[in-house]
Amino acid sequence: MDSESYAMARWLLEHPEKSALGAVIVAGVWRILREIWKDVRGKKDETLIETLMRENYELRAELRHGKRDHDHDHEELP
Amino acid sequence: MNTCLGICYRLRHLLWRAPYSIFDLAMSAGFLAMGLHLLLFPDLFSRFDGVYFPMRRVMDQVMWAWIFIGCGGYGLLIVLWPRRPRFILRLLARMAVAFCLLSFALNNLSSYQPPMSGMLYAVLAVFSIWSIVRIRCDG
Repeated sequence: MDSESYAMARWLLEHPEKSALGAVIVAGVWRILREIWKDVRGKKDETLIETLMRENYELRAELRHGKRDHDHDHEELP
Repeated sequence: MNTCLGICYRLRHLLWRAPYSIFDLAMSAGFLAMGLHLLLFPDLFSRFDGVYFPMRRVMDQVMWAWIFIGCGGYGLLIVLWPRRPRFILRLLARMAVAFCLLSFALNNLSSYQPPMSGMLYAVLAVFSIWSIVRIRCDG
């Protein structure tokens, strides 16, 4: 390890609170930027599996909704 | 009453199904306990000055205790909340706990020779940073 890297590692260890705060903020900001980037891209890069799963969920929700309506209609019959 | 039941249900789910949130639960509860421990034994930093010197140099023991209690308590509240909190609140909770863990790990590693628990804290700190990076908006 050269002297600069050693000095940097030593500084990081000597100031645990600053190093911790820096690392946590960098990780948090990176995560937020990733989420924003994902929102901007939207469903453009959706994979085949993701498309199939989304459609499956939508169809199941539709079916459940239809079944509920059907049961409701039967309850109203005399 | 409903909130209490919801918290009990959530705790049961975490302990039974053990998703990644079990890490959040364990670390938050751990730091809450550590904060209380620091308040109970106010001369801990001065007695073990060799280990806790970097932390003592920044703030006194009581301040660290309240920081641990605040971060741990907030993390515990977020992980036990019956409904899924907003993304930014969950992210902040993980960041708070990761800050405590990383500070503690670096503090332990900076003393020569580092105590054995330093390695454990270092691994947990890496996982806590990873949990920030992998947190999902819809997860």
